[in-house]
This record gives sequence, structure tokens and C-alpha cells, in this order.
Amino acid sequence: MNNRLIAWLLCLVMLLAVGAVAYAETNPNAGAGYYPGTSEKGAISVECSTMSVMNTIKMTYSTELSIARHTQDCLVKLSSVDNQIVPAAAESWTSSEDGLTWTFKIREGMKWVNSKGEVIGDVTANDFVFAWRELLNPTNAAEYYAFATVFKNAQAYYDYASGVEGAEEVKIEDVGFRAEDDYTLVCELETYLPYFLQYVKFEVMSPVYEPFYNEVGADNYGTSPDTMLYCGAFYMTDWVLENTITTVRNPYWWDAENVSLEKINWVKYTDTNAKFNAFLGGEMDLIDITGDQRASFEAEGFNVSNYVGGYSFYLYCVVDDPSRDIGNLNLRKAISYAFDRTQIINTVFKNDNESAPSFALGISGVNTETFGEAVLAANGGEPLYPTTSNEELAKEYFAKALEELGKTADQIDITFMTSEGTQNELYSQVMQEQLRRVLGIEAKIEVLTITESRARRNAHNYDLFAGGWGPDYNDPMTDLELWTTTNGNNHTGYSNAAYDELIEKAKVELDPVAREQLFIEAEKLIAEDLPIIPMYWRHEDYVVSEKMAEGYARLPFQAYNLIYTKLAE
Amino acid sequence: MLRYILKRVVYAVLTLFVLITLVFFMMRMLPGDPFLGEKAISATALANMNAKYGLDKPVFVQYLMYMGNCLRGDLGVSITYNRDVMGIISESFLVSADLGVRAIIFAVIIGVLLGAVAAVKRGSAWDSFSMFIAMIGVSVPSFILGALLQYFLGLQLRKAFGVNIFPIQGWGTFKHTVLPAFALGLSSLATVSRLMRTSMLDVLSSDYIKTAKSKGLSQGKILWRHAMRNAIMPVVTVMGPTVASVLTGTFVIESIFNIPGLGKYFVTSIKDLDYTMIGGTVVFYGGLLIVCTLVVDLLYGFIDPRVKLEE
Repeated sequence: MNNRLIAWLLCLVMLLAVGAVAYAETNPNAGAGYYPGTSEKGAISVECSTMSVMNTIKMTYSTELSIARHTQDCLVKLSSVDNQIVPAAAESWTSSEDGLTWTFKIREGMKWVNSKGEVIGDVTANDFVFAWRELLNPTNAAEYYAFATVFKNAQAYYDYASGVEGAEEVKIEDVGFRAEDDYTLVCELETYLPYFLQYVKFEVMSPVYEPFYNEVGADNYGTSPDTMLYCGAFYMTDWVLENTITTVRNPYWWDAENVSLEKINWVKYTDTNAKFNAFLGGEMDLIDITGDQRASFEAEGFNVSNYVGGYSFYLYCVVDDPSRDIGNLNLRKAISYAFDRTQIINTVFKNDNESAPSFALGISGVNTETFGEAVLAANGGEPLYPTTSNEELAKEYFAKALEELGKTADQIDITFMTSEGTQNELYSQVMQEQLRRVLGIEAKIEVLTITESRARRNAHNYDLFAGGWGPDYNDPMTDLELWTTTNGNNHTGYSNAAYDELIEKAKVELDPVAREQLFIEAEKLIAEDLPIIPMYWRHEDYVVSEKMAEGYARLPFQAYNLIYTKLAE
Repeated sequence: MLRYILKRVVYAVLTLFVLITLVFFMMRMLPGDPFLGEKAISATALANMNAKYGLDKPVFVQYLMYMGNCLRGDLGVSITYNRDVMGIISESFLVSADLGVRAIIFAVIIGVLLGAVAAVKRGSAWDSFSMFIAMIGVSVPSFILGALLQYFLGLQLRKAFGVNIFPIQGWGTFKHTVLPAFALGLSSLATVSRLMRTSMLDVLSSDYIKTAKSKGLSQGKILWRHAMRNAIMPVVTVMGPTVASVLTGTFVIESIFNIPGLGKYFVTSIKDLDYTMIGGTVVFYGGLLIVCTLVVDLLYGFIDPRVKLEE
């Protein structure tokens, strides 16, 4: 073969590879001249909703984790190109045959820098051990401590240290992680976990530099830029609470040579109109937009971008309270068939939200691109939940429900519990209207504050409540585990031994295809029992100025990955 | 005088005490739990969080502890932000106060002038104009005014001339303060100018002004020396609470212009059930309000010697 042919073939292979996995965005409006973006050289201004806590041990919001993704390096991370696990602080790793012991080789030469960009120390395996111990330290009351309970003895230690009655003594040294030397970290797991690496990529599992942490004190750590250290692609220089966080390129980061972006201003807004005007006026480079704003952008020919974070939205139903009409399965089925999900999306959200064909979203399939596709295929290509109202079936189930309940349609007592907010209330009103039209039910709407609605939800004191779930890691378990009897997020009272068994089996099944099959069965069981009524899969609209040329990504598990953003010339 | 001040201070402390007590028990009656997020946490973790913020103790014990801490000037650690409440308040209050002072200066100077001119030139075009401004200030809500200013003076002006005269949002330079200070100050300006006009009209028709006129004093002297000084009293009265509310920021203006002030915490802390933050903002606002009212009462004595600051 001559050289030219080889070169062509290589190009072709590369193109195919890029075509197959190209997630990182290229600006859809490049060079169109609509919105050139902010004027600050080398910097971008990006909207970020919640950024209240920057101490990685204590953070909980996906947007906070997103900022940490830019300022800290976990052992591994997700690629902005294909959303797959790639090395970060660990340059390589091995696992034992039984998958219970993992050994990570920490990258040598990684540095801790402070808010002034000065080098403070080296990143070593000890920093991970220390951070994870702090995560399990009950006095920190870390909400996401559970990520560290994948390690051997970790939950037992946490219970013991928290003073749980009857908990046996466990020493922190006996918890399954240790630094064999400065650059070797050994982890032992409590049970086999096929998606273990998806856990250690979670930014809550970032390392922490012990001498500095002790110097500023646990309560003070991470409450301002200068009470924290950074080992990621950027470091934080400024933080105005509830307003802006400024992160600057870290020249000491191991892959700094591939980072050209100098600065990211993360800006929080409470007013959707303000950020819209700010974008139009060239004061922002990336904002999330509403359905109406999207229409106005499209009207002028500006291309809107779309982000799927893997969030699935549904209605929780209380199924364990026989005094509630909603406890009747046929009534839930009638309601599910009565909903015109497409109309709801078009009226309430006015965006690309997708009528949920099944529950879980954002998860990769074994032989299909997504797990959702595998579920769809297993159901003969038919969605498990109708996209538009199926009045005939709805009425059929409704008649059965009325008979079982011994009631007439006007006696049916259903309340939509909703938390405050124009969109939430409109969502409930549209659903209420659809039930009225199709079934003749006069459902009520109860509007509560978010904290009260959560308390009522957890106490199973409601009929229907709109909720949503975003996956934590790329495995159907993150979604489907929710509806097991003992799961803390199962606020429906649903308890089905067959369902629990499917999930338990999936936990120990080593064959990926057989495992996926178990999850598909679980999806089907939810559709049969309807402890939740899946409604839509969220697609979020956002716009980017033409300043951001390419390389940025917004994907499931990484709401923002802007590290490799390239700016327009 | 000293006795009067002392007495007022004692009243102020008592008021604050009642305020803290009421707020403490009222917020505990709000339904919900500050630690309930979207995702569930284990019972052990919840217990640890409750212990960290002292919420595991009986409510009355918590109350005593809170009172004790307040006396020492410690407002606790915010549940939402994991930071010292006092630190959050002082940081954001500086921003709100900066904006508020500008808004008040603007409102008082223009308001008093408009009101006085309207009274002196009663029935003229001046009068109609200033009362028209006052009507707009009172009837247009600040969120509409803010959004209009942002759209026309921020966005459209920039589009038309290609120069950034008024930033649309944000904080940090003088330019950033112009539109929000105007939006924040306009309703106070309206109140001030209407009060000033009414009170000025009242004063101008009183006997001593007639006497002054008949003595042959110049119009300017009459207005400045005699009329204004007396007419401004109702304005001073209303300034106490106005200053307290403007200085502590407003949720609406801060949202529209994305200003990192104190205003938003009054709203978000209640939504989040961030007990320490609710307590902190209320104590701070209450304290400031009490101080402002006290200052206004004392000011009376200086502006109008007829007011005796005794019993």
C-alpha cells in the first residue's frame, strides 16, 4: 500500500471515530455574527445555578460538582469528548480478578495551588485517603458520605463513629482504602461493583491536602477562595456568594498545555429575564433559556443548543395507603393513559423535552447507545408510556377502577401536590385539565413551599407529586434502585418482592447482557405497577455566544465541562 | 436628653428580644426540614446533620443557646452555605448599603426639591410635572421599572450606539450602580416629593410666613430659612423606616440587576428553611430598623427645637 493510501485510510478511520463519539460541542452559530460574546480577553462568562458550597466534601448540587470538576482532579474523570472514564489524578489502575481490590497509580508531579496560583505542595495518594476519611467523619455531616461507603467497612465505620446503637467498633484504618506509598492508592470494596470507577469520578471524592485543611480548620475549609487548595485545570480566585465565582487557568495542572481558556466567570441568576438581556447585550457567553426565549432566538435564526443531563421526570404516587384512591392500580393506569404528554411538553415547557418512553435516561446500553433504546427494543419498539392521550384505554381502566373503588367519577378524590413556581403550577393545571377532559375527574391542586412538599412527600402524605431524578453514575442501577422497598428515595410506599429480587440479582450478575436484561424486566415491572407515572425526559435549552468556538461539553454526569473550550479568534 | 436616649435604648433592646423570640419559635413552626433535599440521606447522616447544627436538642434549649449566642454577637453558621451568618450578612450588607445610600441621596435631594418647587409654584406646569413623576414613582412597581431601564437604557442603547453606557447586570463599578439606584430610589423619591409638597403648602400658608413676607424678607430667605426647615419634618419621619428598608436591599432590584446584596437572603433563607440565616437576617434588619427610628427621633430635636426630647 502506498503512503498516500495509508494516510487517507487513517483520516477515514479518525473521521469515523469522531463521528461515532463526538459529544464535545462545536458552536452551531460559529461566525454567524449574532452574539459575539463577552469582551474580556481569554475569558468566558457562564451561567451556573446553585453554587453555595465549594468544599468538595460537603457539596451536593450538580452545578457545584461542575465547578469542582474544573478546580479539582479526582482519580478518574469523564471525557468531554465521549463521556467515558479517562485518567485524571490516577494515570493508570488495575483491579483484582474478583473486582474487589483496585490499585491506582497516582500521577507524579501534580501540584496543589492556592487562590493566588502559588504551589503549596504535591498531590499524593495520602490526599485521597485523608479526603475520604473526612467524608466519613460524622462531625462533618457530609450529605454525600454514602459515596465513600463503597469501600470495605466504610458503612460500619460510619455507623460506629456516628454512635449508632449496637454498631460494632471499626477503626478508620480498617476502612478499605490506604496509601501504599505516595503514589500508590489501594482500594478494597465492600461488594463487587461493576461501575466502581463511576463512583470515584464523583467530585465529592476529590483529594484534600491535609496540612492545609488542618491549618484553616474543617469548618472554615472551602468557605472562600483562599481557604481552599486546587489541583484541577483551574483555580478559584474570587467568590461573591450567590453571585459569581471566578476560576483561572492553572498552569501547574498536568494537562495545562492543552487548556487555552484563561478564565471562567460562573454567574448565578435569580431572574431569567436578566440573564437573557445580559446574553443579548454581550455580558454572558452561555445561559440556559426558557421555552419562550428559545422561540425568540429561533425567530431571528439563531441556533439554540440542547443538553440532556439524564433527568427523568415523573409523578410519585402513594401506593401503600388504601384510604387514598390513587392506591388503586387501575386508576393510576387510567391517569397515565389519559395524559397527553406531548401536549404537556408543548404547553408547559415549550422545548425538546421528550415524552418518557420508559423511566431511566442518560445511561449507556450494552449493545445499544442508550439503555432506553434497549428497553424500547425489548418492548417491540413501543414506548412503555403513551406519548399522546389514549382515551379508549384510559376510560377502560377508569371503569374498572370505579368498580373496584365503588365510586362514581365525581367522587374520585385526587390532589396534585406541587411546589411553588409558575411552571410547576402550570404543569399541574394542564394535567388537571387533561384528567377533567378525558376521565371527568375533578382533581385538586395544592401548592406548597419546596421544603414542605418534600416533607409531605417523604411522609407519603400526598396523592400525586411531580418529581425528577438525575443519574449519579452511568449504570441503570442509579435509577432503578430507587423503587426497591427499602430505598430512601422510594417515597411511594411501593414494595414488590419480584422487583427487589431483580435489583438484587443485578447487583451480583457479572454478565453485562444478562444484567441489562434484569434492568429491562425492572423497567417493565414499573410500567405494570406504576408506583410512579413517568412523564418526560428533560432536554434543556441553552445558548452560547460565538466566542466559544468548540470543545465545551454538557452531558449526563457532567453538566458543564468547559476545560478544553477553544475560543473564536 | 441623656435619660431619654437611655430609655429609648432600653426599649430598643426589649423590642429586639421580643423579635428574636417570636422569630425563633415562628420559624420552628414552619413545616418541612432544612436537610430534606431532592435525594434521600440515611437516618444516621440526618442525625449527624441535626447534631452539627444543634437541632437535636429540645427546642427550648435551642432557644436559650441561640439567645446566648446572639448576646455574644454570634448568629451561627448558615445551614445552606456552611458559612458564618454574620460574615454573609456583613459582606452582602456592604453592597446593599452602597446601593441604598446612592438611592436615598438621589431620592431625598430630588424628592425634596421637586416637592418644594411644586408647592411654591402651585398650579403651574412645574407642579404638574413633579406630581406626574411622583405618580409614576408610586404606581410603577420596581420590577417593571428595573426591567424597562435594563431593556431600554442597557440593551437598546447599546445596540443603537454600540457603546456600553449602562451595564445590564452585575456589580463592581460606578456604571453598575446607576440603573439599580434609580430603580430603587424612584418610589422613595415619589413619597418624599409628595410629602414635601403637602407639608410645604401647609407651611407656606401659615401665619409666620405671612409675617416674614410682610417684614419684607426676600423670597429665597423665607423659603430656605423658614419654610423648608419646618416643612421637612414629615420627610424626616418617613426616612427612618425607608432608610432601613432601602439599605438592606430588595429582592426584586437585586434579582433584576444581579447584585450580590442582602435582599435575596430574606426570601431564600425562608424558602430553604435555613434557620440560622432567617434568624440572622431578621435580627439584623430589626436592629437596623430600631436604630434608624431612634436616630430619626433624636434628629427631630436638632431640626425643630420645639420638640423636647423628654418624657
